[in-house]
Amino acid sequence: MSMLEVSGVVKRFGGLTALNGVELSVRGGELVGIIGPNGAGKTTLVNVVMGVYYPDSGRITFDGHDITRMPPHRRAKMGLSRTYQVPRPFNDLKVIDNVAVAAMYGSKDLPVGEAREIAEDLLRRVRLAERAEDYPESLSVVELRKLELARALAQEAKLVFLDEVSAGLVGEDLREVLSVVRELHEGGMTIVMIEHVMKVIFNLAERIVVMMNGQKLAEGTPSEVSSDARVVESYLGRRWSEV
Amino acid sequence: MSMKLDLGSTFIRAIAVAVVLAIVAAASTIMGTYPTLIAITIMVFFVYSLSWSLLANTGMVSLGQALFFALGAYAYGIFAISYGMNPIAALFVGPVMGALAGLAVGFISARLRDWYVGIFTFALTPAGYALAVSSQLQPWTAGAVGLATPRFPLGSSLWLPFATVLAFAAYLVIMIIKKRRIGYALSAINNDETAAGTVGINARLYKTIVFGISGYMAALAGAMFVALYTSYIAPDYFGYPDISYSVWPIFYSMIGGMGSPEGVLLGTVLLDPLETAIRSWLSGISVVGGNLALVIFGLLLVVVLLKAPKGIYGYVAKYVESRKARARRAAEAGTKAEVSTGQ
Amino acid sequence: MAAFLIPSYLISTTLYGLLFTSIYLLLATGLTLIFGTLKLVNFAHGDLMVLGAFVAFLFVTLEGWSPYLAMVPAILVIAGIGVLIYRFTLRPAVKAGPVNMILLTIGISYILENALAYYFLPVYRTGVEIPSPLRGTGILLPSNVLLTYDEFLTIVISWAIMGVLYYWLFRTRQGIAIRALSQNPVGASISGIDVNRLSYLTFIVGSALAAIAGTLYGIMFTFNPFSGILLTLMAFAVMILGGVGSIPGTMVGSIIIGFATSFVSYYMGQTWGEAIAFIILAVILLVRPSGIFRGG
Ligand SMILES: Nc1ncnc2c1ncn2[C@@H]1O[C@H](COP(=O)(O)OP(=O)(O)O)[C@@H](O)[C@H]1O
Ligand SMILES: [Mg+2]
Repeated sequence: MSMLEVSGVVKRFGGLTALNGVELSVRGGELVGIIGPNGAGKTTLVNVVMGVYYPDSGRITFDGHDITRMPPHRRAKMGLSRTYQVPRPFNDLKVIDNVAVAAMYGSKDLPVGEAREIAEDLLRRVRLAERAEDYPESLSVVELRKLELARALAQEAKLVFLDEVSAGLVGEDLREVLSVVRELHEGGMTIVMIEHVMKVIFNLAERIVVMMNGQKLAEGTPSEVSSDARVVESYLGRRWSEV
Repeated sequence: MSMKLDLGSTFIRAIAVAVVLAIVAAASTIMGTYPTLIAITIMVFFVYSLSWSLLANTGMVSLGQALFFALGAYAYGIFAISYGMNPIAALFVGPVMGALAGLAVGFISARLRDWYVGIFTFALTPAGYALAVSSQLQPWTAGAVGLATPRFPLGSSLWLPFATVLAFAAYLVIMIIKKRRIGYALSAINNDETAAGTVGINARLYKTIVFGISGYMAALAGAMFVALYTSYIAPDYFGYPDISYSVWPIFYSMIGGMGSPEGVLLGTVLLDPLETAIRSWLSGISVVGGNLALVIFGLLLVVVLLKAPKGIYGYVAKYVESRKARARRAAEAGTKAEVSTGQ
Repeated sequence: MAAFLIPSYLISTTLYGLLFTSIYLLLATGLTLIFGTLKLVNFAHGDLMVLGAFVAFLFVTLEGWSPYLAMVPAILVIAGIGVLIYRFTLRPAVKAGPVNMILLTIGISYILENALAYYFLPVYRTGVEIPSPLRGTGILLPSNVLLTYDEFLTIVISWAIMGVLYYWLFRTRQGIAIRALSQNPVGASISGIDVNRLSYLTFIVGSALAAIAGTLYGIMFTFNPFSGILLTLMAFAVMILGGVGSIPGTMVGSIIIGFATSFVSYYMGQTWGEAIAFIILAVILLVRPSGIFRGG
């Protein structure tokens, strides 16, 4: 029985079909990677699963419940969380409170004090503790990405979508974030990790889904996918140097 | 550690506000009857402006806040006159009508995007006015003539202290909301409603609740205005056809700094007497001096919105914040230096 | 027999419905144009209209002009004021965000109303109408209902102007560019349209429409410095009902609000006639809170 089941999901924006019958199935405890070129529909898929938009057709179930048209906050309560590829911090809240508010309202209802403790802990884990008392406006892009990660984790979700969290990170920051992801996975969390390029998740993901033009192009273990003729031809081939 | 610091500063802020309110009350009492009346309006408009800024800080711009103000005024008057309720009880019970109206308006507003809330609330004020002057409700509202209310059953020397206590209570309510879980949710909703939903916040529910609270506070201000100041209720309290009653809380909040209740206090304490002074000075010159005073206020609002969008308090707070940050960075640099010398 | 079935009532309410429709159409089209193109929610729009009526009123009463000729200086003055407001307050405030923009236009509305009151009230006390030499003359319709020449002219002028406006928006390069701008500002600027110039043009056209609406309104009805707020609200009701930013939708909205105002005023009194627009507005917002925005 899979934890998340996306079947036949279609999402159009005016004349543009961003998702064209997407299928995705995620089992509990899995770490799935989704890759695909810009505009493939990866972020839109996350938005549809999280309830930012409702799909035009298709069905989404989580933990056996149909959530296709459930409001976003109830999905959070059920144990879904995500990061935003383009960070969306709460600018009137300090960095620590950005994370704390997610702990207060995420999958559990926690009091302020407890939530702040969780937040402090998470900020330390993503190496952002020294910015805890600052406001997000003063954060760099890299720091904002780490804040996104901390906020998504604070919800203590069962399944978390990481939408290109590693983009722009290098060196120690990249290693740190990836090790956080690995730890979470080892701790039993279900993770869907979206990346624009493959090398980041090649060693991390058990299974990789390749998206293209709003559809699933291929699926399999990292090595299967990277040797898949269609993938190589239509995506990896062109960009192999990048991957 | 940071928790303690926050609690401490909250406490200090509350003390400061209490002191300012007490000074306003005491000084005006010493100065005489007229200043005492002005001080009562300061307390009333502080409560009223807080009700507006509570909404604004949850991402909802009410352009028809006078709806609740007038509802509170009328409910107070009608309960006291038509139903013989003790005015002191009516002062607190009447605003329940404002809370109910707030919940209803909030239920709809929570589903509207940005400026639609403004137009929706704005559009309710003529409807409120129409109800107040309608012949069907004439027996209760006295139509366009307005209602004269009975004397408030407290010694008149107690009116200002009473208003001051209510103003401080309203401030405390705002501070408590800010410091509780709900306060964090409201900030999140204000900043990014979609992201707030993602982290599990039910924005529609909170917005509706906030409108209910705001409706009560605005209505309480309306009831206080009548009970402690005018003893008279007119249909134009609905902010229609003259929008003044809806605009004042916006003036005070925006110019003072709607981001914090202290900013709102600053705006009210500075502008309310200033407005009265300019108005009476200009009215001495001309019968329409009052209108000229309002032109000046309109210009002031425009200038502040253009030059200091966060108001006077926002300016000050930014300055203090940047100094603190500098001090913190300096301290950090100091620690690092120590560490490196230690190696 | 029920009152609304009496033919003379029916004919004159229909007539007034048509009159309201014509005036709301001019006013709301200006508002829609400004919103669509500049993404600007202008709460001072009705005040510009009243100011226009007052300028025409002055030319008629002080200079002895015909009210229909006085429309010309009204257009010029209001378009000028509109440009000044846009240049010195709204345009610099674009980066301050939509909320501050709304409050800014509220502040401007407040300034316009009270400035007008300052000049107006000592001389004219309550409300005024623009005197017209044609007053009282007209065409007799069945059931003894008089269609005055002023009413007739108002309807003809409004729809003629709408015809010209439609031609401009849908058939000329400039008009098509404005519509492109209103649909996609980024795309428009990429495709070589001079966004800055068109923004001014839109504000000028919108303000001019308000001035025309104001003059016609002033010939027919009394107005005072505070009439603007109700007119702004009416225009918003029309715009939201018709689908925000949609020019043809504005026409549908005008007809609905125009006739609702007329019929309800006739049978329930003027106060409810004014309130009905907002009751309709509230219902629309309740039923299709987001749909209206996208649907237009
Ligand atoms: N809110 C939206 N409105 C219109 N088009 C959108 C919206 N969101 C995404 N799109 C379009 O949908 C397509 C898929 O986008 P996205 O899901 O962001 O791709 P990816 O994350 O794979 O790069 C793109 O063409 C994008 O322009
Ligand atoms: Mg993406």
